[in-house]
Amino acid sequence: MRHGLLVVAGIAAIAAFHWTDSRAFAEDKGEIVYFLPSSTNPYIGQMERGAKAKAAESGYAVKFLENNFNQAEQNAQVQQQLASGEKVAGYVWYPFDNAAGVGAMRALSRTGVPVVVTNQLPLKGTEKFFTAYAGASDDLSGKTAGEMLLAACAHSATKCDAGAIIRFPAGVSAGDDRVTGFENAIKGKLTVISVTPADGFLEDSGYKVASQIIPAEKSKITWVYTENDSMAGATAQAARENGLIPGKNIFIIGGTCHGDSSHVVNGDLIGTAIQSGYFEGWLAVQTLVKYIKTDVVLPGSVSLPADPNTPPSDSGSPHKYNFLPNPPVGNSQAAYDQAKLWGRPAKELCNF
Amino acid sequence: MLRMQNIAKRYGATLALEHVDLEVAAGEVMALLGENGAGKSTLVKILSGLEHPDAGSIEVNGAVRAIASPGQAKAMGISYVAQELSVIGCLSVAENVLLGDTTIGVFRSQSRLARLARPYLERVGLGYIDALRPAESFSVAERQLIEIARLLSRKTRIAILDEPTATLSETEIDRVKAAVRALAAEGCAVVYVTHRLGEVFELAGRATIIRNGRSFPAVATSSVTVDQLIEMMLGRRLDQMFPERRGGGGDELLVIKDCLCPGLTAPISLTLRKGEMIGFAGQIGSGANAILKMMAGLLPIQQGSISLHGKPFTPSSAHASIAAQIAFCSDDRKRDGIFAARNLFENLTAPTIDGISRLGVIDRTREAVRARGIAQQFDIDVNKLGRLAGNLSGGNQQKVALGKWIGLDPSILMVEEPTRGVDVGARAEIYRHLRRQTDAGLSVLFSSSDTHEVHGLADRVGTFFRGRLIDLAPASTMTVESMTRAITHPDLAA
Amino acid sequence: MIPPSLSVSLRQHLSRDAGQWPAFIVMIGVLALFIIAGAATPSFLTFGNALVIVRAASMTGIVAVGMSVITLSGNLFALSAASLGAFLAVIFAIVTASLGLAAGVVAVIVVAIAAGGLQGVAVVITGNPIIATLAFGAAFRGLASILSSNGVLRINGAAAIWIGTGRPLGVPTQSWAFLILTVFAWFLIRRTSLGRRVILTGASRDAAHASGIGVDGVICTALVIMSLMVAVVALFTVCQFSEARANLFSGYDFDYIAAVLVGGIALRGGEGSPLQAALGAILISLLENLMLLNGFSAGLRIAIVGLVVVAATGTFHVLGRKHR
Repeated sequence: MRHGLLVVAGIAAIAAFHWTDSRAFAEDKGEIVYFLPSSTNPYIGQMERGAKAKAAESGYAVKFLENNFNQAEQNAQVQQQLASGEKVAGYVWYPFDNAAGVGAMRALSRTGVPVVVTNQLPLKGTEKFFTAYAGASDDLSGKTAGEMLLAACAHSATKCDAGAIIRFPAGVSAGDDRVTGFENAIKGKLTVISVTPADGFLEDSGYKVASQIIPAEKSKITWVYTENDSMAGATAQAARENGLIPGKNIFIIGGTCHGDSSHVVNGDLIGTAIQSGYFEGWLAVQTLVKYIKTDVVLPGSVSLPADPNTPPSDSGSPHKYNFLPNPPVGNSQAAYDQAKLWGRPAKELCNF
Repeated sequence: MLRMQNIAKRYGATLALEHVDLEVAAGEVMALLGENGAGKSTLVKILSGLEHPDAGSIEVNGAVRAIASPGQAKAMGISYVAQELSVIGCLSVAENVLLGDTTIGVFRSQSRLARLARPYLERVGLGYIDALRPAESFSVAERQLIEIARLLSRKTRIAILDEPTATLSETEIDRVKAAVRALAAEGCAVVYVTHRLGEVFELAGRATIIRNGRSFPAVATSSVTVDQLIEMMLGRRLDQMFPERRGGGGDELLVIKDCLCPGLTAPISLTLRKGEMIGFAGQIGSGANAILKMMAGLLPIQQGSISLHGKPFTPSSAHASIAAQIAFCSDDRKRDGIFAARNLFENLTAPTIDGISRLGVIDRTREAVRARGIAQQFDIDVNKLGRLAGNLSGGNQQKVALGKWIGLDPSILMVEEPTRGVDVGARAEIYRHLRRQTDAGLSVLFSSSDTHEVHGLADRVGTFFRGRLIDLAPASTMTVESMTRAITHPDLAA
Repeated sequence: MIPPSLSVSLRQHLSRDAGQWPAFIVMIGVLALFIIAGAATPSFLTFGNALVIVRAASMTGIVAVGMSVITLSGNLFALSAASLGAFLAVIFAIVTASLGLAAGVVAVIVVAIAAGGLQGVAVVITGNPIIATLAFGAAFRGLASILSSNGVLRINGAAAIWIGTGRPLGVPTQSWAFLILTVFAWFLIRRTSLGRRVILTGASRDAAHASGIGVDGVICTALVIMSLMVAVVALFTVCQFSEARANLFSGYDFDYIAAVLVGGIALRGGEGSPLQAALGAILISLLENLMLLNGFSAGLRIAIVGLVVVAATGTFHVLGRKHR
């Protein structure tokens, strides 16, 4: 029994620590409540850092309500937050499961406080329930990857036609959108042999699929798109083990820098693009604050410029859809070291 | 009411029932007797719809019927009360009595259920209990009676009772008997499966005996003796149930002085000699087994002292007792006596795993030699050592539960209820094995609620009543009657 | 004592292993699937693909083999395996990055033993392996998250890369480890006194206690064994990709349990062998490979694996009842 108590006490202490930690920047302008899945996922950990930094800069406190990758839990958190009657400056809504979270998002919007959706592009028909979307464009990410692959194929001495897609697990809408963006970009120029979901997002999941697909399709396969660089790196490893040489007779692209950069800088991958968790959190908070200041949402969408040094301006009003850029990065050490977005180096932005 | 004819049932290569007839009239109690493995339980399963016969006919109330499922059996008015009771502990007594009764309707308030259950409870002699309390708060005997009350409430026409008294003490048994009589008096045909032959004469008008899958024509209990019944069941002459005593009085081995432990109300002193067998008789809850449990390290010593081999000894845990070579077989064999899902090699060597290992690796030759040695001593078929213990008959299971301790070379073997759930043929064998161990110098302490057993087997007999040792004397100076008095009404004992 | 006649002893040696039949069923299932699939799917029935399948089963299989020891001891499952894997991976990466590979290996082993022992104590005290390990799982994941600051921890070194990607005799190191650890666990359970104690504790905890077996120690040992198997997987995974993160192995607990169930190890404990868990892992991997090569959609793949688990568990349960 005593051990059980110790464990509970330990967990409680950790939870309390996190709670106080997330409130450390409390200032006068009010509190932003940010719903999101667990920061045990490093991308989300980055997102929290970016959001916290931007909120502190703008004079807001931010409270993160994390769920353990579970929409039911997140919905319950919304109910509890609303029942607490706390005065809130605005909400940031990162649903774990877009469709299953619509009801909760609607409940948030009914409080009259602005709701900025991030990471998961809202479903059609739900426009009334959120103020603005600010986050990644998975469609754009897939498109960038497709264009980079086409460019590599154009300069290739060897055959480059058929290939395979290894995607995020079924039901992850970011995975759907990236595949769509990618397929639209390569339509009519390259053929897709198969689209296979992995059972996770990391190297081991990617390796598990790639190590089975590549040997089976070895004679046909000339490229693989994997939706992120972790799975792409593992795919390069699997390709090597099957006698293929990445960058020579097989082209591999993840399209979003993620984790280990060694496969990008050594040329295993044909390149990458910056998909920054830090700036996704940063942009969500900036969008919310811009709306609070001006009370105006411009119609339509905007893809924010991928300026290496200057982040988008704090003045003005946000659009309904504000997309994070996905600047491509070349596959050499020099290109990687020089790549920057909004004043921060790729090295830092991709470390998740 | 019920007529089963020419029933046959085969499981793979084994013929469980070859040719069995069973006839029971309304209002009659028919004893169903036979050794374990004779085919009683298969017949009972067929009757309750759990198994289907390969051949033969079943007539219920004059009409030939097929009993396809337990549900159908229930619809025909056939109820089966298994040894493992089906009383649901967390439900109230009234709910248990009326369980499955669909005629009551939706308005099932507890007080209404209690009112409806009351007459049935009264008929089985449970008129005094609070029907609103959960069933688990009552004794095994009372739960058995609740089960019979349920049969009454269901208007059961054919009731099969499978060893309803196996785990009960004598006074409790009387209450169950009365309830069974009440059931028959309602016009129910009762099939009564038991190992206690005494009950057969008191309760049943006739008995059907099954041996090796064949039945004998039913005999009237008024025209046979116990020995004749036993011989019919065994198919051989029963010379003597209990082995001869050979004195049994070596050096003092165990001296217990003024010891008290939970379950005892007065301190106990006794001396156990090498090669001696002491039996404690008493009803369940009388404390007859308390000293055994204490010595096994399962109950704390509250006062007094113990010396073993002339040195002080404290049985502080099960480990300590086993380390001191004191072996204990509880009365709950299924729970902690055997490993049902493991074979006999593993069962028989369980207390001595280190003894059959070298550097942590089991030496299969040593294991086989040890298991075979024990099997030979206890008349367990050496060719069956690869079988799972759970597939053995009760008697063979008990031999395994006892025999496994021999490998430990114990100085004291303690046994609770040495023949519970063991059929009459195997019982004599168990007695012989225990006696053979004491002849070889082992000391045995056992407790039993069967007075005949204690009187017939032990060198010295202790009687217990309400946590007190009433008397401890050589068996030859006692009679079964005086012992029965001592364990029920010691004040009347001479 | 008694000179055993050869025929008797042979018969007994055969009959005492009669409880192994679920392993044979799984084996037959594997072969049948192989043949059916081989006829229908090109590039399936090749030695190369067999290696691929075993490799894909290795990481899940090693944990499943460890998990089976817990199941055999009568304690169902440890639901902390995946989180413990992430925790150990993070520890390994941190220590290896600063003190070198050898120190990392030692650290992971020490922490795994401690983690297993603590969980064992919790299981003994609470009497509920599911709740106890679930709680520990949450704690391990949280600790991994804190220690890694939710970032990616990298390691370098040729030795580590060889451990992660080497192919002695053309077979990946992970598959070697899977093979060796399966044989080791099988030997441990079937042939050693410790294994015998585990099995008897699973067959009947009360009877084991009454026979003088220290059941609490047995349960702790089972959890330590599982934790060490998890440590091996964590180590291989970190070495293969030269990095660790807190969210490694997320959602893998079902895979470990599925392998144990499909292997036909009785949930009540005391029956079966780690070999069955290994075969279960291979069977699932085989099935997934087949579906992957035939382009089954993800939903269908998950559903089929789920159905196989249900069907296997149900079949073994029914067969097990008939058997007794």
